Amino acid sequence: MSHLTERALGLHAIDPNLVSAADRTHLAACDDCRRALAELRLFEDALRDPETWIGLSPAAPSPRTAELRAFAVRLAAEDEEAVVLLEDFREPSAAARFMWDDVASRPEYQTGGVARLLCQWAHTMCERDPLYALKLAEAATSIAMTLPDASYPRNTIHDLRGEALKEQANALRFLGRLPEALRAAELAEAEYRRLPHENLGLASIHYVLGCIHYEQDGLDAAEQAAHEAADAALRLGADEQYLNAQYLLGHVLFDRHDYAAAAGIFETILRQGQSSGTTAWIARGSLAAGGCYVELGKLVQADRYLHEALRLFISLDAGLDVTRTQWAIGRLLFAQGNAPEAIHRLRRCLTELTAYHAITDAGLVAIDLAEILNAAGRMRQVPQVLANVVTTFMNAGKLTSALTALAYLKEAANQGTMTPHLLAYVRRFVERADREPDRLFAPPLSEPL
Amino acid sequence: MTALATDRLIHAGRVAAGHRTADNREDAGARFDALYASYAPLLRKIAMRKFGIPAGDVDDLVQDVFASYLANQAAVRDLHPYLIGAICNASRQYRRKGDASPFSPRPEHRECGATPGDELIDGVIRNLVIRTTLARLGESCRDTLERFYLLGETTAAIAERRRKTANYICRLLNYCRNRARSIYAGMHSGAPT
Repeated sequence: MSHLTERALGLHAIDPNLVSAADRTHLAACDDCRRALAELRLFEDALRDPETWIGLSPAAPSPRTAELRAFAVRLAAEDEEAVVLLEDFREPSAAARFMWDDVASRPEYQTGGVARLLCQWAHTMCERDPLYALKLAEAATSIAMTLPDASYPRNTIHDLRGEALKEQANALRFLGRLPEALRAAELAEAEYRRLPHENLGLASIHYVLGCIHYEQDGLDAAEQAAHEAADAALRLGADEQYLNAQYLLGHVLFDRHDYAAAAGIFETILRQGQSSGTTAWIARGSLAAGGCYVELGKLVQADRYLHEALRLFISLDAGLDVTRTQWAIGRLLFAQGNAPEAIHRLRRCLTELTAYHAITDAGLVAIDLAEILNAAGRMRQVPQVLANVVTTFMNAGKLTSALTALAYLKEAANQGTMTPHLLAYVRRFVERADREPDRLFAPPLSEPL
Repeated sequence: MTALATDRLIHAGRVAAGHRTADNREDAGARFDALYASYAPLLRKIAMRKFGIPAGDVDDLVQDVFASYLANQAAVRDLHPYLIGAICNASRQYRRKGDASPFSPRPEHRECGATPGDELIDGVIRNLVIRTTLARLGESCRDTLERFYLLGETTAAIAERRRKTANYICRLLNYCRNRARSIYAGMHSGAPT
């Protein structure tokens, strides 16, 4: 007997009694017809699903959806207007005029669009000009706080306020005003917690909090915040934020001298960079993992990672990172017993970092160089290396406590009292000096036994 | 997988929203319509199936997720996992608040990866395309299918309302559904017809 027609199959799907007994008998025995009926049933299942029918009735969309649509249109309009209103203040050279104009107090600037754009600029500006970034973020905060709670639907005003406070915290962090940064970050977190659910802002603020704790030597708090940031970012598929959080976590572990765990984290980062094809993350992960393996004395792995990082940073034309990798390779060479080549590399790094105006890094390289010269029995060269870097700091106008620390170390080298403990103490101080410019240098109280 | 799923959903959503990409790129409202049409069904399904959120409360969570996305557009680099992660967060939050509520928790469904399975996405895309198909049917056909499949009315009840015989309604139903399948097959080659 031939297969059921499409019409017969369709009628059978509606009611089996609508087709003949012979058709029903055939259907029970025929795989092809049963398969065709199963496909038809799949289509019918979709017709029974309420989702299929949404929006098909002539009625207008629900008021809540209409409200969201209006919100989308309004945000776009606000953003467009903000670009026009703020076009004269984009560059740091406009900082004085921006402050003089006090835009936050002028009604035409009191829109979410202006606050968002100020946040965006503050974010991109915080490394280049943290003071201007702070002024931008403060203005954004002031505007966001002025807007009534009900001005945006579904509590999203707290998102804007959290964002502005987060940028304020970030700028304060870059200025080294860590207690104020911490306060702003906590306020930002409180705003984000008022949202109906956890979103990207909370992931970011955990990261900022982690950085602040890290810079204040609060490694436990930094670790916890880094975990929270990573978890929150992972839940929202925010890869970049996840990697940033993991990178912070790696540095926390490194500072705890848990080099094996830190290497594990950095290797995970570089593998994720590989899977997403992000060369910058592969390079960063390789450099950091290589540094860990130098500390662990696993020099073969260190060599492989550091040379891979060097190759990648060169391919990215990232000059400063190339020099930083050369610096790590210099330390590796020393660990491999090749002190002359290590000294040669570090001297070159000193010159290059000075040329890049990476003065703090130059100071740190000088400390490493002093350590290697000392170990290589070339102690007499150390005071000159440190004197040069002190001059570099002075010429750059970097009259911070780091300068005092380096000058102290130079004197210790002159007097033959420089010890590994003192070197480590000064290195740690110089590392933090940029972020905490108000911190005063005091010599270590005593040598460890 | 994620980018592919996003493309497929957005494409299906644009078709469902009748949105022409090239003509309306600058139109934030049209972009929102397409996005909402693409993702709202998927987000509802995740909230209901994975977290057991009651149907009456699901829309509220979905609206929160879209509002949150709109407020964070600049920071969202990967839309698909963001929206899915956000509905999971919103659903978890709902369940945390509702711990004292009468419905029983379903802890086995609380875990929520950023990427739902292909089966779920395929189902959502099929619904979106069928929705577009139904929009192209005549009013009488659509009404008949809606009453029978969505509202669960019997052929006899529909016949009585239309003053026709039940047998006629069965044949009409068969014709309308076959017509819909034929349009669907033309729009969605490769999908089950």
